[in-house]
This record gives sequence, C-alpha cells and structure tokens, in this order.
Amino acid sequence: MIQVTSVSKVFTRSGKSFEALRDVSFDVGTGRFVSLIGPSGCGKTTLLKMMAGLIKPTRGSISIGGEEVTGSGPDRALVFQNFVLLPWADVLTNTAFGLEARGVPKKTREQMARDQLERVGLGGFERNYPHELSGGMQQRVGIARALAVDPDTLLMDEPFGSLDAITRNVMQHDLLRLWQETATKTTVFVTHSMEEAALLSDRVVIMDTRPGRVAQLVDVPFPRPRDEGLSDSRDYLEFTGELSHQLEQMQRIDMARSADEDRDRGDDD
Amino acid sequence: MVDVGNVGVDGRGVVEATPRRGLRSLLEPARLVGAASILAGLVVWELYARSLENNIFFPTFLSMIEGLVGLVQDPGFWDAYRQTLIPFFWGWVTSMLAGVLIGLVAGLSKTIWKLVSPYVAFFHALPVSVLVPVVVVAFGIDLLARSSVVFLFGFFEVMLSTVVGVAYISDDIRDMTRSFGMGSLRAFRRVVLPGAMPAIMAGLRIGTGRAVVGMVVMELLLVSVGVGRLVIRYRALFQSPELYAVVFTLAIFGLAALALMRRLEVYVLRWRVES
Repeated sequence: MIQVTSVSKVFTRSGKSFEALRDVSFDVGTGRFVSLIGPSGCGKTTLLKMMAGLIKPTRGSISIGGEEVTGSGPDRALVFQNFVLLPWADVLTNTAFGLEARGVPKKTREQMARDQLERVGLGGFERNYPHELSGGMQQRVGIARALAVDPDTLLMDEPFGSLDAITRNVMQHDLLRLWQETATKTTVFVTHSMEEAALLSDRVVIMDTRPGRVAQLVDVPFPRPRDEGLSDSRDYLEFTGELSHQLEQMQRIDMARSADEDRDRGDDD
Repeated sequence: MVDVGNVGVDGRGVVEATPRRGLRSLLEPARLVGAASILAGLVVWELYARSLENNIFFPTFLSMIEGLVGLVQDPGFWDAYRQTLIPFFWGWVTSMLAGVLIGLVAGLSKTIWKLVSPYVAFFHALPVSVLVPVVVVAFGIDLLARSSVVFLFGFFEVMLSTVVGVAYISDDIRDMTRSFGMGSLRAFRRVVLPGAMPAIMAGLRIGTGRAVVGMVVMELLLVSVGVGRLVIRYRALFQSPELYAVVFTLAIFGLAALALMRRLEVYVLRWRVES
C-alpha cells in the first residue's frame, strides 16, 4: 500500500517560492491502479516523482509497504512521458537497463528483456535503435524496461501524453490487457485524460491547482477484467462525461485566475 | 528525387536507409559541383597569374605544382616536416587526452569545476598566440616547449567541450538513471560517457584544427624551425612557387587531419540519426 500523508511541497527558485502541493493525502491499495488527474500545474508529476524518491516533500511523508520513501528503490519503476530511452543503445540494451543497474549478468538480463519485449509486441526489434521506432513503439520499450525489473509498484508519468490519438488508444488498450495479466502490480498513473483514467483505473484522484491539492477521490465503478468494449458502453460515457466536465470547469477557473494574476502584475508595474 | 537507398524492413513503420557508398558517391551532384568549383578557381588563378607582367609574387598554379614536385624530391623538405610533426604529435595527443580527462572530472564535480573555471575563463579569453612568446621565454625552443604550444592551442577547446557535454546530459536521463538505482561508476560508463560523446568528439575535431594552427603559428612567429622555416626562407628568397607549394602541403595536412577526426567521429557516433 502507498500512503501519502499530508504532503506539501514548496519550490524555491531565484528567491521566489512556489507552492506546488498543499496537504495532500490519499492511499493506494496494494495491487490497485490509481490515476492522478488535474489541470497542468496541479503537482501530479511532482507527487509521482516523490513516490519514485526523486523529489523530497517539504512536509508530510510518503510510505510504501509501511516504509517511508527516502530515495529510489528496486521496488519501484518509472515510465516517462517522453520515453527517456538512451539514444546510443539499442532496444534490447535499453530494455535491460534497469536490470543492468542491478548488476544482473548480461545473458540473464537480455533474456528477461527479450521476454518483456515479446509481451509488449516488440519481438524482432531488439537490435533497432530508438530513433528508428515510432513514438508508440518507443514507449513500449519504456514500459518493457519498467516491467523487466519486476517492480511491486509501477509509476507512470503521462506515458501516452506525447502520442497521437490513435496510437494513444491502442496503447491504452494494450496497457489494460498487460496490466490485468500482471494483476498484482500497484500502479500510479498520471494523466490529462479522464477517458484514459476511467478505462484503466480503480480509483481516480482529481487534483486542483494553486496550490496543488486533492479536489476529489472517485472510485471507478466498472468491474474487472475490463476490455476495450468498455469505452463504448453508455455507463462509461456518462461517467467520463460528468468527470471530464468537472475537470474542464477546473481548468477554466484556473485559466481565469492566472489571467487575473497577470493583469494584477501588469498594474503593479 | 531523393534517393533514400533501401527502404523498409517489415512494414511496421521501421525505415532503414543505407547510404550510398563507393565510386558512385563521387558522382553525387554535391561533389560534382564542389569539384567543378575548385577546378574553376584553379583556372582563374592560372589565367590571372599568367596575365601579370611579373609573377614573382604570384606564381601560376602550374608553376606551384612544379615547385611542389621539386620539394617532395628534396630530403630537406621531409626533414622540415619531421621537425614540425614530432612536437605536433606530442602536443596534440596530450591535449586531447588531458582535455577529455580533465573535462570529464570538471563536468562531474561542481567543486572541481569551481576550482578550474577561473583558469579556463582566463585562458579562453586570451588569444593563444600571445602565449607563444611566453612559452618560449619560459621553456626555450626545444621539443617540450614546442609541444606545449600545440597543447595550449588544442587543450581548452577539448576540455570545455567535454565539460559542456557532461553538463548537458538531460535531467530526464539523470532521473531515469537514478530511478533505476544505477551506481555511479556504472552510470558513468553507460550513461555519462556516451551521453557526452557527441560533444567530446566535436571538441576533439575542433581542438585538432586548433592544434594544427598552433603548430604553424609557433614556427612562423618565433621559432624558425621545420615547415615554418621553409615558409620564411622561400619568402625571403622570393621563391614564390615553392612558398605556395609549402602552404599547399600544410593545407593538405590540415584537411587530412580534420577528415581523419571526422571519420572517427562518425564511427564513434554511428548510433546517431543520419541526416
């Protein structure tokens, strides 16, 4: 279980401080899939990086399996929005990167990487370089790399955010299938899209901005195993429609507020 | 139409382009245009020099070639090159090695960077030629002194480029490496070094060019030895064809050195997208 307890984060840049998160608390049950969603600047990526141990909270704490997160660890693996593959290494080496970091011998780690590549549908591309692959395929490598280290917790930072709409759909459905096969992996998934969150998650944490905070926790009512047919069902459309509408309102309010602030700043000058 | 070589692998969106090689590449339009341009330049040179009443100061192309043929049969010419290239070699090799090593250390450690950066700023702002008399006064004109001058010309370029290469490895890649918990020694070998390699190779190439400049500048400015002495002598004796021929061989040497570094760069960075 991941427990986020009263987490606040204040960034200070060139003398100015910026409150990225204020008093954020929620739990992610073991083996559950939880999405963090909200307008840009709500601190969802910051929160994910805290779970990964890359950023420390200013106040509050995050614990995973009862132990407080103080740094990165072999129990967690990250998937990045812009893939972050090593451009000088082929697909197999990239996929095996996490295993290599742990000192797994070459033969073993390459076999494990091959297995994962097969699972994400990239068998036969082991010797290609990242730039030879499309964005969707590069993110498949990113996912395979994370799965290869067999983490208890999978942390995904808008993994499909930079893909085109069609690729995105395909990737969502493939991830749904992959995740349900793997089942017990606790997953935290940052996204902008309510449709994506509702399809994949058990629970959605809706966040708001200025400062970043939890606005609402919503349990997704659709039973598992789900398949891609879900996204055509009436219930699903109603559910996502309602929440997307809320999200859009939040975004509008945020935009109006930032416009006001800009005007205020203009008056000061 | 653009020729992309052999396209397609398996219909899954992967495109592999094989660049054309061998004799055919000599016939590519870009190369033909370049060759034609040089040829035209030579013809203009030849005609202009012939039109002069007195071409003691400006020899024709053909007489330069004659001078060149004479030079390469003269053992003195090769001795001069040997005299020049030995300090060049030592200065060049040490500047490349030291530049990369110190650059890596300074790029990895903020403390060390703070220690060396004032020196780097000082020497980088200074035209290196000015250091030639300083070195000569300090070390004389022996092999060590002349190698040092070449070293000074090449070193800072390589070092700075390496520091920048290490510093500009993206935060995402650093985060990724950290998130998988890779130890720093392994991360250096597998992430930092290859990540900085494009900048390092560019630094080596530019540094090589500057080392060649250093080699010639020193011999012309102060220490009349080697190829520099040939240049000065032929100028004094008004042997323009030979003077031009020596300059021509220096150009060939510079081009060859750069081409070699380019080859090395392309080989080391063969993972890069061909464009």
